[in-house]
Amino acid sequence: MIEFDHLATLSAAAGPFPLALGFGAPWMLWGMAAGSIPVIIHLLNKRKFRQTDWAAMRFLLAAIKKNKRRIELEQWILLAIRTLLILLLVGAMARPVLESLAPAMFAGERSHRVLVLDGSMSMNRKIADLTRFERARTLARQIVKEARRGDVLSVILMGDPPKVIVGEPSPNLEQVSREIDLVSPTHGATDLLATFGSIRRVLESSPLPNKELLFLTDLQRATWARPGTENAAGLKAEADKLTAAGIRPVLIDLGTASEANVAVTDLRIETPVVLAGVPASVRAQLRNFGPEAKPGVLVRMIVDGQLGPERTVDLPVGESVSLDFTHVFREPGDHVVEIATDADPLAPDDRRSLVASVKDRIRILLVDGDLNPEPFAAETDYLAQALAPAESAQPGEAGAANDPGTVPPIALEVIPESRFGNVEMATYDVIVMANVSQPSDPEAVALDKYVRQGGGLVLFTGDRTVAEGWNSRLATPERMLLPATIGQSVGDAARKTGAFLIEPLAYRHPLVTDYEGAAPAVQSGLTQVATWQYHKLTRQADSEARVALAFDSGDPAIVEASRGRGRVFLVATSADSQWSTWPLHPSYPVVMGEMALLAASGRTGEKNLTVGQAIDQAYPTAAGAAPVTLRTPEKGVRELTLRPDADGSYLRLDPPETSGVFEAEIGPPVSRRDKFAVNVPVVESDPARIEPGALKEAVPGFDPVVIKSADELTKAAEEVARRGEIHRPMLLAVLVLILAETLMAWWMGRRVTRVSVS
Amino acid sequence: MVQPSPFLDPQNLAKLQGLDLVARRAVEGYVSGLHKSPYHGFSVEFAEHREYSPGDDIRHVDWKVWSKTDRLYLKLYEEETNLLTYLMLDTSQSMDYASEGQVTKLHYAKMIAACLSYLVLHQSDSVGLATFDARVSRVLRPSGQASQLKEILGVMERSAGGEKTDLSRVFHDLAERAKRRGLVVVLSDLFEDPERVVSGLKHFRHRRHDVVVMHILDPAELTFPFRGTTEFRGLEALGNVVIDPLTIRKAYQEEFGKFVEAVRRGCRVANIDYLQLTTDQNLAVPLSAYLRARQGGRMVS
Repeated sequence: MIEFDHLATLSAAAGPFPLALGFGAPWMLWGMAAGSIPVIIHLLNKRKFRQTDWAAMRFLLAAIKKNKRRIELEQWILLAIRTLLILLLVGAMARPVLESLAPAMFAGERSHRVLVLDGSMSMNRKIADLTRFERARTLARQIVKEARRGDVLSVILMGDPPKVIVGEPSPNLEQVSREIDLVSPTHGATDLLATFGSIRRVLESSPLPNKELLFLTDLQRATWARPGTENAAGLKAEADKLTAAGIRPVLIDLGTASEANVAVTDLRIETPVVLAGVPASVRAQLRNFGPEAKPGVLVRMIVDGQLGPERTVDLPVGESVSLDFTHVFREPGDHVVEIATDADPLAPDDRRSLVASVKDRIRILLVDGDLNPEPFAAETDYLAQALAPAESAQPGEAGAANDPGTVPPIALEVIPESRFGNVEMATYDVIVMANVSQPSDPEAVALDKYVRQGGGLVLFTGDRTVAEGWNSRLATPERMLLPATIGQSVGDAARKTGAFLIEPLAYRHPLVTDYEGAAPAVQSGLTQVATWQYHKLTRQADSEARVALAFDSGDPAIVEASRGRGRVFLVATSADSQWSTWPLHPSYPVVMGEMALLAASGRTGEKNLTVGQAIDQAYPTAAGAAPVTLRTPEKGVRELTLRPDADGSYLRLDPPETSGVFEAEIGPPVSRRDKFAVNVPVVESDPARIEPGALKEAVPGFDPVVIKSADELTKAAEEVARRGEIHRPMLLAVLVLILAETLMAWWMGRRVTRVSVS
Repeated sequence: MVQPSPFLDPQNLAKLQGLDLVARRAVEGYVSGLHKSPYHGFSVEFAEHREYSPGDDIRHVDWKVWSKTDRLYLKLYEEETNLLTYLMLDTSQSMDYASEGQVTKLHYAKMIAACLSYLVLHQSDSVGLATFDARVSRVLRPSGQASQLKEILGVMERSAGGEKTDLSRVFHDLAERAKRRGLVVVLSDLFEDPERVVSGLKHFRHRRHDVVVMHILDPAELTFPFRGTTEFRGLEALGNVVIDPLTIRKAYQEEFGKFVEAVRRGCRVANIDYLQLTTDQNLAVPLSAYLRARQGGRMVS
């Protein structure tokens, strides 16, 4: 017989033990003390007895002498049987459960039942007029309806983030049922770790000892076994906590194998900055996730609700096909581009939206660290000429636009370094800092925020650059804005000897891809640039920053990195001709123009989101707490206000749960009309399922009972309860022991007590 | 007229009325009828002297001896009795045991002795009594006089449970004392080594006595009916035992059965009648059955 202490040890270490014990009524274990009753009776019998004179003592003594061993052995066996009998009886009353077979449900016990509905996009798949989620909802209602008297329920929606629908355990079954009716699936993915965290918190909120956990899911691989997940340890810890709490989840599998699905998996505008009147290249990507090829799939482009060109495409099994469209946006502002295919059972991924922020011009702020009124003596003169050659901008004034057909119209503003602290950064698409000594702490914070919200930053070094000032503020682990740290200067511009040439690095970076395959004479306009002096740039060891161009010494010349939604370029040399001959070469305006466009591209990206990403749009401080009328994809209207902050006003929305286009009308005092496209995560389009047996590998420690329907639920609950609960076999053992005790007592002349001869 | 006595139950006597204790073998007597005699015809022979005791018939005083020794001796003649019956009554401590609701074995034995005495005297034979425990404690020579019954009853009333038994020694001693052949009736539980018991009994047989063993037992000694943990305090200084009787009952009964069987077998081999009596029996029943069996000449064992 297992002793009480041993049981406690097993229960405490339920995780690693495959057959650890849990108890439905652990307080009954105190009754184990009754196991000492036979021993106590035995000891009392030794002290309490009748007395009688006896004449035939010689025969009694002879019998005892011959049978003493047998009597003692039988006595111990009977004592053991009786003790075991009581322990088994008490143990059975404590309703022990083998943890590895822990019942999902304790029939007849009040319990806290947590329903977890898979709310990921794949649950929107329609099968015979009903989506999977609607089936899940029906099953959930049925489960609620069949709840036992006294049960309490909670409801959680799996998602990214998960949503607790009914957190406080509710005994009001009708109310829970109504809440389930109101739940809708999201168009997003699932944060499994966060979901398990929510489940744990909800389970902990209930004082009832019996807890049941039911998942209603399609077992999509993207939900349960997202490749490359870094949450494995966290998931295992959560699953272990469930096991330790004696909970074995039940998972109702609503999915089916080999499902067809065609999805628009990508939609982007290839042009970094879309300008009004300039043809923009739109590229869409479609993928056939199903088991059969899909020939002649009709693909339509819709711009601002107007049907555009249509294409027909063949989609082989498991392959992606790209389609290119061209469109000219006539008016500046936000335009919605949609690519849609024929409807299939999983509708949300049959179309994808894109908000193209069409600009009339790109606003660039040149911050000059070496401002000089003499022509081409200031640090930014060459740069201004290169970006807006028609008209050199004067400090503090906006530059003029150029011919929109050839060179992007750029509005330039040049300010000295001293005025940078007063600038409202959000009004510019790109900020270029040329030979600026170092940012102040508030400027560094504002720059970091500006870039992460989609702004572009181009930083030229020079003789005034204080490397340590930049590194200590914008290249630290806490604020890693710069793509590389700025080191000591290399070379000597004063002597102009030992020039370093540009190494194009096979023209891989988008900055110089136009030079790839160009005539050598054209390429030499880049590769023959002589640089006398530069700052040595060093990328972080695990940095994602890319070297766009290098010097022939091997040191980087231009390093680029994405930071948040924005992009940062760090140039190792000066923007003027002080350290380099580049401003005198024909490649200079080309590369600088491309760099400005790429840096500005973050401004468009901020309006294209995936379900689960929050809308966080920055506006000029002047917008203040302007009222916002937000139109949602479901045709709903919400009235909001901008949130003023130190460096601007912000439109901040919780992560949307559904895909589509959100439209925000802002003002007064400003008047803007912004659109945001929210698309489904591509991983949710893949119908691949995880087999129930593989769940344990995908989520270590998670070993649910998987069933296919609610009808099986009751059967499974009973079966699992039977498998996990061992009080029935224990009671059977009690009966057997009673029989054994009777038989043994009969066989040996009944009860055994200790024999002592004096 | 029989005097009232706790050992002499009139109902028992009534049931034994008409039965005789007959000698199975030739006894030394002259009265013809009940018992065979080794002698032919009537003869009156001097047998021995016995010290005079008050109440004896002075006609049998041997005045010649008195004149020589100045002591009164009676002349005993063989012709005084036809059957001599020696009652050997065990008064040891083990005989003082009685289970619940029963009389002690000693009391039961005394009742048998009283009945047999009455019968013997009633059929004009002589009866004597010897009581013993570890040794012979009292001896009443056989006599056929009417006062003998009173003597016997008086001795029995005065004798109580004594000490430890030593049956073998006592039987040898008594066998030496009972010189004239007769019927020896042993009334005992015989709680001793069966071989020694039978050895002692054989001594009687060696002296040509007709021997009857009346094995007096308490029914509890046969059935061992105890329940619940019990301390058995051994009589005759055999120690105490605390035990649950049910655990040892079968083994005890086996041991006890072996003892009884050994005694019975020993008696049979030695041509001794064996009669087992338990104190819960109405003694008239087995006794009358036994007497009838003897009358039929059957060996009882």
